[in-house]
Amino acid sequence: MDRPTAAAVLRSSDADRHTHAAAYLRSLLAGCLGTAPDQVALDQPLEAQGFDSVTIAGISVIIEEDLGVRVPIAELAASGLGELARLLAADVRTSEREAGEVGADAPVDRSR
Amino acid sequence: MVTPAAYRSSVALEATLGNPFDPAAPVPYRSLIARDEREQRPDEAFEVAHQWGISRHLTPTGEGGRLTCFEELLSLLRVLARRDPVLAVGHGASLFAGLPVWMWGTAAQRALVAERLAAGEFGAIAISEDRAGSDLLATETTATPTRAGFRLDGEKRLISNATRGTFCTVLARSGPCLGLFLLDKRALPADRFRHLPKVPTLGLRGNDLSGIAFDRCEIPVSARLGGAGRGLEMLLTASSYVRVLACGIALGAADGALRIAADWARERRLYGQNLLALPPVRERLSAACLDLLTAECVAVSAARALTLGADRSRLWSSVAKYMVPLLCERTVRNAARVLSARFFLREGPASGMLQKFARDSAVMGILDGTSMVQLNLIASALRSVAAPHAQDRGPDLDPTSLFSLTTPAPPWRPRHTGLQLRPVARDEITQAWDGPRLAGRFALFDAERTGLTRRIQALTWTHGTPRTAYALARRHCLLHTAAACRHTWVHNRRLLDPELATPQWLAACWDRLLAELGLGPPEPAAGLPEDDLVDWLSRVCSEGRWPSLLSLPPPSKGQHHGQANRRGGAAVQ
Repeated sequence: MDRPTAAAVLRSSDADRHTHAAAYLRSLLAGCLGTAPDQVALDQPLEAQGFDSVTIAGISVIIEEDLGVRVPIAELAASGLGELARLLAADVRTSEREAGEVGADAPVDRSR
Repeated sequence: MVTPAAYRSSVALEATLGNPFDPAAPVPYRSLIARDEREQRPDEAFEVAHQWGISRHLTPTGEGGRLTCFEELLSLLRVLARRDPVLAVGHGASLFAGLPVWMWGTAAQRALVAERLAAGEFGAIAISEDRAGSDLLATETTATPTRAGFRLDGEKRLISNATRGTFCTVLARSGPCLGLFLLDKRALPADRFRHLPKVPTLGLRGNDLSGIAFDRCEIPVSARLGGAGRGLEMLLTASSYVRVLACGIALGAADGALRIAADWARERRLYGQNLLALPPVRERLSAACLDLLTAECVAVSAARALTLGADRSRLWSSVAKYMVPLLCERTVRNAARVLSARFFLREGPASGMLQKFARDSAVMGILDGTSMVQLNLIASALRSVAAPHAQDRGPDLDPTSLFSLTTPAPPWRPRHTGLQLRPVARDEITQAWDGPRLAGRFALFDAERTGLTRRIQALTWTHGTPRTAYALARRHCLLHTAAACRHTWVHNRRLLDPELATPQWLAACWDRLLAELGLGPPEPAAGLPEDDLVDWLSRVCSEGRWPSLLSLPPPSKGQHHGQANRRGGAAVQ
């Protein structure tokens, strides 16, 4: 599954959210590394996988563009990707949630 | 000799600064050295550059300036640096402070910076802190939101223009994210910030290097630059531009040193003959000259890439920032060896200016990201470039557009730049390259390229960047440099002086890079007779030109070293 599709799935469904968030992250990181999604490890933080600060900053921007969630770079660098998938599963608004929320146009800012 | 449009302003600036060897010129070496000895800023020299209009070239056309072309700005910084690197660093710091403003600032913020620069004032970029070092995520200075805006607390140190800068772009923690803030220092509460003492340094002694301490310093909400909490992302994007432009400073110090050495070798008599006739001296001059021209190939293409292939600039600007200072420092060292004992004396040839170039150029590999930082960024970029899996790599970039100096690079449009943080997917400089063969030399680089890709693909990234990746990144830099020399030579032969238009020049450059890779150049040795290159260097310098691929025309006739006139170059303008 490519990244836009994985993002759309995560944003559209309230079921299996952690699985969808993990699939999205695999797809995103695979795109950064030029590798296949199933070769992306989710058990290690980005900095342990050798991602440099510029790439991590870029990943933060992509996540915000795709999912409307701002993940601070320091948190993105040091968190295990499994943990990050849980955060995204909790924070990404789905179309069902947006329908019932006020101010749903604003991005979710994890930096606050 | 055709002078590409991007270089005409450099010829004019050089003319305005005058003959550096003439004590009566507007900006002579003698007065710059005197200032340096006293660790004083060369204010008169800054004023000459301002009167000429250097600030216009730091300001985009849309804001009332003339900045559209980074190749031109690279060359202007080189001209300033060959006179005194302190001049280039001072204006470079203003530029770095302005870049995020030009790209993401509001109309009011852009107007403030444009107005200050036009008035001959300076800006500072306050990023580093004592404890955080190069780890920007460890930034401790805070910008706490208040009802009226933000409250700044913390100490920024090792900041160029910290004291004289009237505007300042500050990186500060705002919650768990980092933000950028543009400060109008004149509008700050005077009792809530203070300048730190000037920092003594090995080189750049006249640079205004100190720091700023903020203590509950209230700033308005309008000080925030760009998107909230995206300060680091903006800064990392702007850094690609700064890394390339810093190469202009290294080039200037190197060609200034080389010209002093060439002049000395031509004038000094030893053993009954000119120094220039001695084989060891010719060998040093030839090596210095090749390193400088090689560095120029890398730097100029990196500058053009900023508007031609911005999504590759993450890689190419780091390669340039790694290689160019390295080559330029070696140029200065070889130039110093030509002066021999005279280099050690604080009098004599060019009033000790070569010593100053040596001291000043020592910082070039550190400034705006150390060599180790660059290798880390390069290794990371190569990981995605070398990845075998198909991905959206985008369209090819034709190296012709990147290297053909007679075709202007597209103008910079700062408001459309955006964050440039995506992984690098292509590297046409090292990939789109298939000769000339040059008696087996290309085959060695070709094998190196294939082997590098294989070894990068085989790296395991489970505990951060593997140690081997740094060594491979360094080898990639050498390969990139060889390719840059090739592309430059292929696409600009008609512009070059006859000695450089010959393939033997390219072979000589390649042989030095092959040696760095630990690969012996194939026999026979490089065909360019050392004598040809040294004779070219000597001729160029005696004609009042500067050692450069384009060896731009002299500012005016009759202004050569040894023929100083009292009008200096200003009269030519």
